Amino acid sequence: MKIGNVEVKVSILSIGVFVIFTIFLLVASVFSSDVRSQLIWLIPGLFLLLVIPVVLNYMSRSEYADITPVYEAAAKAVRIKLINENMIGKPVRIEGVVEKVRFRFLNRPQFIVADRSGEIAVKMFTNPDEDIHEHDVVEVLGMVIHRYVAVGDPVINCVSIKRIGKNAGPAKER
Amino acid sequence: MSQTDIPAGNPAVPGIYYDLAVPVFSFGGAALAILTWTSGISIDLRFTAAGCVIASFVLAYLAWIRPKKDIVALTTPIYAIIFFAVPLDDAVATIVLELLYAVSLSILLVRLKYRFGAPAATHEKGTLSGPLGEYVEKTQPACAGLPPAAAHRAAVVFLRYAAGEYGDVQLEARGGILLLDGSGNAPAFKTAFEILAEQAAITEKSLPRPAWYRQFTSADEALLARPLPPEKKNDEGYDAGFDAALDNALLLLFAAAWNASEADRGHLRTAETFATRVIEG
Repeated sequence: MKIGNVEVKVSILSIGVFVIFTIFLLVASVFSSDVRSQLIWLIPGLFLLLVIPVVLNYMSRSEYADITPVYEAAAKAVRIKLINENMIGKPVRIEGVVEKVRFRFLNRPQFIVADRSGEIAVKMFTNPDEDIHEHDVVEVLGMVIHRYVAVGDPVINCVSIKRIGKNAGPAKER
Repeated sequence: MSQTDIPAGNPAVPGIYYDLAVPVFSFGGAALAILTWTSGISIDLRFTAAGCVIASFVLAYLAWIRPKKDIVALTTPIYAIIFFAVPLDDAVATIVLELLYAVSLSILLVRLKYRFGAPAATHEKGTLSGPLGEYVEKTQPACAGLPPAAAHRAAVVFLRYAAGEYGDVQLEARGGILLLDGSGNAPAFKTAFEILAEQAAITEKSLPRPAWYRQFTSADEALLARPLPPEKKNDEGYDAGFDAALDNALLLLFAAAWNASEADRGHLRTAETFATRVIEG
C-alpha cells in the first residue's frame, strides 16, 4: 500500500492479531446478544488494530526517508572490523553480504551483515524500502549504537539498507 | 576450561566454580524442597527457592562479565524474585516450579557459554593479553628510542581513528611525523603516521580507494603485526594491501604509544578491544 511517496507495509503479526480478534468477535457475536448490541463499537475497534500499525509504519518510514539524505552526506565508509565502542553515535556506511535476517515478521528486521573483515548486527526499527534476503550484497547507512541502549557490543541502527549486488552466496565461502 | 574462562575481577575464584554454582544452587534448592516435603517437615518452601534466586544472580554475573551481553541471562534475577517471592499454596507446584526453573537456568548457562563467548580476559596491571600483548612486547625494543612526545601523539592518532574522528587523525598524524627525530626505527613509525593520515583523508572525504597508496616496505616487516600481502589484486579486484597497511599502521602506533608513553595506557585501554579486533583480523 502506498501513501504519498511512502510504501507502507503491515507486519504479519499485525495481520495475525487482526484475524484472531475477528474470529473471536464473529464467534462471540453468534453466541452472545450482548456482543451483537456492541458491534457498532467493536467493529471500528477491530479495524483500529490494522489502522494503528499502518499509521505508525507510515510515520516511521516517512521519518526514515527524510533522514536518509543526511546520512548519505555524513556517513563514512568503514570496514566492519573497524566499528567499535568508541564510535558510538557516529554515522557509518558499510558494504557486505547479508548472512541472516531475523524478526522480519515484526517489521523490525535485524540483519547480520558481513564483509571480508568481520560481521555486525544491523538493526532496523521499520521495514526497509526493498525486500532484503540472505546472501544479498547490500549497502547499509546507519549509526553505531550499543546493542542494549547503554551496554552490549556495538551494532548499527540502520536508516537505509539497499541491495547493490546480486545474490553473492555466503560471505565465508567467497 | 580455558584460561579466559576465569571471570574478571576475582581471579582467586576459578571460573568453573561460578559455572557449577548455577546448577548446584538451583537443583540443590529443589532437592532440599523435595526432601523437606517428603519427610513431612513443615517449613515455608520459599527458603528452598533461595537456591534458584542465588543461581540466577550467579548466572547474571557470568553474563555481565562477558563482552557480548546476554539480555536473557542478565534478567533472570528479576524472574527469580517474581516467581519465588509469592509462595504458592501447593507444595508440589512450588517444587515443580523450582525444578523447571533449575532446568531453565542450566540451559541458559550452556547457551551463554556457547553463544556469548568467554568472559573478558583478565590481565595484570600494565600488561596486555593475547596476540596484542605478544605483539606489543615484540616491538618494545624498537619503541625504546621513540621521543615521548611522538609516542603520545601516536596514542592520540590511534584513539582518534578508533573513535572515527578521521578529520582530526590527518592533523595529528602530520604533527606526529614532525615529532619523530629520525633515529633508530623512526622510518617505520613515520610510515605508520603517513598511512593513517592518507587513509583517514580518504575515509573522511569518502574517496574511492586509490591505485597507489602509502605502504610499509620490506625493511619495516620485522615490526609489523602481519606480513605484507602480495601487491596484486585478487580475481574480484580486491587489493588486500590497502587494508593490511591500515591494520599494521594502527597496531604499530598502538604499540609505540603503549611502550613509550606510559601515561597514555589508561586511554589506550578504552580502545583495547578495538586493537584486539584489528590484530585478530
